[in-house]
Amino acid sequence: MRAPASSFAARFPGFSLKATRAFWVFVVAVPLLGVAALNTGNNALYLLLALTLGAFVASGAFSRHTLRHFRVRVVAPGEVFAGAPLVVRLEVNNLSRWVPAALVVCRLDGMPGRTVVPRVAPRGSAVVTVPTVFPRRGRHALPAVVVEVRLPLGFFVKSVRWAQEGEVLVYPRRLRAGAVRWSGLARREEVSVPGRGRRGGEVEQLREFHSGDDRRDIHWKQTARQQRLIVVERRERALPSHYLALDRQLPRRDDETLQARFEDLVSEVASSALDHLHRGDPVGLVIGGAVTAPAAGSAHARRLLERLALVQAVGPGEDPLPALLAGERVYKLVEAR
Amino acid sequence: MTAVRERQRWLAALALAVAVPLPFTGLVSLPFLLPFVATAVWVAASRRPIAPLPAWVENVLAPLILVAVVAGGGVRYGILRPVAQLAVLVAAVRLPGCGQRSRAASTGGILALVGVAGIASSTHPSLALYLVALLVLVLIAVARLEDASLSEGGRSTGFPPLRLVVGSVVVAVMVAAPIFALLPRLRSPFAGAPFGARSVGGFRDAVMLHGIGDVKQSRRLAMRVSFPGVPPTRVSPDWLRLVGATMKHYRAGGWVEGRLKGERFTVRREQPIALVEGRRPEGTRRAEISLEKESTAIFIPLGAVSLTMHTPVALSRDLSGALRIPRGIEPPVPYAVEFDPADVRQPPPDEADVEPPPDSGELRALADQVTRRTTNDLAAALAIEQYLQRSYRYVLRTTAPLREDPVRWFLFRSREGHCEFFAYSMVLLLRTLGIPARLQAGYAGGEPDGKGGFLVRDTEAHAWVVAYIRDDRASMPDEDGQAGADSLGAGAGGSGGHLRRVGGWNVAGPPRNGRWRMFDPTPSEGRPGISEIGGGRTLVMTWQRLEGLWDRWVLTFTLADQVELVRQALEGVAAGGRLAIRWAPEVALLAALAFLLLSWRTVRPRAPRARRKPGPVTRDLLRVIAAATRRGMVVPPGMTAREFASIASATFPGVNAPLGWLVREHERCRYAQGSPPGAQALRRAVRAIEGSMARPGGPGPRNA
Repeated sequence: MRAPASSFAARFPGFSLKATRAFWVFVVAVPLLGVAALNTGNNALYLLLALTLGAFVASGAFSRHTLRHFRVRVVAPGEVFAGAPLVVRLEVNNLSRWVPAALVVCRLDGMPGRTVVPRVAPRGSAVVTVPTVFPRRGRHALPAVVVEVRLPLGFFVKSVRWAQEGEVLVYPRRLRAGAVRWSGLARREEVSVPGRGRRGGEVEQLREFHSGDDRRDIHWKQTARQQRLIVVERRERALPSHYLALDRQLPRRDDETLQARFEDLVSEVASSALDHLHRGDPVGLVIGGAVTAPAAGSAHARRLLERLALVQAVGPGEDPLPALLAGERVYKLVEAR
Repeated sequence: MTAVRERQRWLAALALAVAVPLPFTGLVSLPFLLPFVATAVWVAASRRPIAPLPAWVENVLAPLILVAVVAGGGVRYGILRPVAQLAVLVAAVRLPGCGQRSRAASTGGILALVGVAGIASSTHPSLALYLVALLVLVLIAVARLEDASLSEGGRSTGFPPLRLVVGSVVVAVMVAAPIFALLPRLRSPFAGAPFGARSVGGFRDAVMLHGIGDVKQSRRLAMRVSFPGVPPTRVSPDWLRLVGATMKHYRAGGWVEGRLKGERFTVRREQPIALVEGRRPEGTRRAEISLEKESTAIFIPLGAVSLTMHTPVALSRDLSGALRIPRGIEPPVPYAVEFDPADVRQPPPDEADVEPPPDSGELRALADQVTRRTTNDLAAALAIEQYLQRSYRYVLRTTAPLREDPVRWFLFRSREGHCEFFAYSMVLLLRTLGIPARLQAGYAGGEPDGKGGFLVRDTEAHAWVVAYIRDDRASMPDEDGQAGADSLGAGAGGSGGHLRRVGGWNVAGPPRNGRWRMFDPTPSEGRPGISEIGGGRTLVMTWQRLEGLWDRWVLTFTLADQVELVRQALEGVAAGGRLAIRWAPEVALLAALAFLLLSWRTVRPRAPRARRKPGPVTRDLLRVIAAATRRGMVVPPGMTAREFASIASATFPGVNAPLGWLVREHERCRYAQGSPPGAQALRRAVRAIEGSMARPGGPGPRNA
């Protein structure tokens, strides 16, 4: 993040200067004051004029100093869903040895939201947050941060644009999912497995400890109550494996309306998958020819979301679903005739 | 706090700030100022946004304001005063509701106008401090308003950092100083509006009391005076009363001196010029004077009998006895004067010296009242002198209105003024009594220069009175004020003349019985004298010096000063160039070295940043490690604090607890960004560790 000191562009990347209303007032007032001073020869007016110009210079110098010594870094956010408000953390540093930075505004370039950094001590740092929204799913570069300085006198809004290294993966938009279209790839089967050797599952019965039982299955409360060793026997139900199948073939590839609908479709799949994964159900995903086996857990959820974040629509016949799913319920765009 | 409330509060604060100079400069009279200040205080103190006045109320108030401004004097005293009074009243109307965005800009503009008017009419040195304070206020206000507008009702971030404000002010002042010096002056400077204060530096030989607000005297050096053979401690203050002009025609509030040609002298270098006829008196003193400031007057002590110019210049003496030299003679102008301190020499009195002002009834009544128990001229003059000294206040700043006679205004209304008011008044009061009197202006007093002489500065500019005092009073005035004519002969050395009935007094007596005497009616605080220096300057003198600098370099800074600055700068550059040519090889060598150094700094990789200063805990831990090393313990460079603690505990019994605590605190501060423990606790721990290490009888140190 350290800027080479040789060029202005490096020290002030993306520098821009926007005159404020105060500047235009100043532009009008100073010549008037100058004419008054010149016309009357009143040195008190000359003094006021000189101090006004001095204040203008001082304001420019200090705002430039603040801008030059202010650094900002975006802390990559964790889970980001398109369209969902989130808070992005910014690490700000004031490299100046003497001048504190005050009322510095940080914006994420091209995105909504801003934050005002109230004060950063000389050679100090702070963490601030910017509320914002990523509008689209997919892999995006971390947004650049636009740093704006107005003080001391606010004649200009000076800003620089600090580009950020790194990427952020934006998951599909979350919707209130409707009826889930499970594909028939999975068989609803319930497998009863005796509790021995298996952890978890629902409690089947409590019984006395026998030799060979796992001591981890001892139910200590009942043991204490009954004054004999009691173990828990569990019976785990193998949950049905559900597949969500997304057909990414569009009837027409370059149709914007279809693209938008495809986005909605992706969001629906992601939302359904997340709902069931949060309930602990294993969910599998079929996107075109790629199949992700059903599983549960947060790691699997991230895996599915990542796939859904990156999925792109294709033209007809480019990446069809497996033939096995023919006639099954899949997420697919069709044109009404 | 909402943006509306912030705007309201800070605009009101700004209004109060711009009102500060107004009562001091007299720019806005109190009836105009009070509503403005009261409104500003109310708006500033209000905790909720104030709604603006209804439009119809503002419309009704507008003509009333105009009427008030006209009734307050209109443009009689210039344009600035009515504009300021108008702006003040308009601002008072606009301040309620100024927090609204639509009204904030217009209110701010009106306040700026009031501020500029107040500053333009200020001359006091405190104006500099005021401007700085105003800048600080503006910086804080801008920061607060920005904060309010950015946070949009959220949590306020408080005031701007002090360093930012102070730094901005310092830079602004540093930049403003050269800008002030360089801004072109195409007109002569004046300080203040006609009704305000006018800067006057030092001696003036043509003075109108009208329009003179104050006498701001500068510390500029006017003359150097020495009395050869007389130690400074024995110099009488009267010897340093140096006359530059004697005036006797009072016209419409001012003194007008005739420009009739007087006597011209043929001046030769070191050849004395007799200023009085007849034999030179005995017991004269000699004063060596050097004019250090361009002037057309030659200043001579009272009782001067001869003048010797050390440089030949054209010299003339006007009818009042004042010595003149042509304009444009470059100082210094050295000359010597022989004078008799015991004798005030003046041309004999004539009719003009007893000419009373028109409508002098009031003055006459006052003079009669003051001198009713006196029986002769001297007693009468002394009574008037004492009356003025005791009954009137000396002030530097006065605002004599244009429409009034300034002497009457001084005597009967303001009862305060500077030395000229006192002197003028005494002259006119004496004249109403028929006592010939003249006004003298020049310098009185000085400060020792440490070399046996005196420095006479503009500060010592003064005005006093010379009156012709007859030794015997002829008669008292008639009951009806009608008396026969009498005659007044010439004074000492006079050539004759006669005076008729004057002012109801029958003035008679042989001319030879009278003489000129000097009177100084100014109270002691306004009378310059011989000031002490060397033993430490008093606060007053320092302040006067500051005022002098302010007057010289700010209020009266002119195009001529700018030209002089440029000339000096060019001379400096030329001198530097000459020096550079003379030292060309050395300069080239230095330049080459500087270039190499700069290149090396640019090319070489940036040195790693110096290590941060260790915190107090780390410092104490290092101190303990050093102590352990001194006692023979080997501490390798890579050893961690915990390893050190472990080995030190095994080596020095008793250090375990305090050292363990110290190491824990060190780790907490260094790695967990914890705040350091108290200095006392640290000291205690270090002392305990060092004490344990130093305790005899313990096992000897072992190598770690």
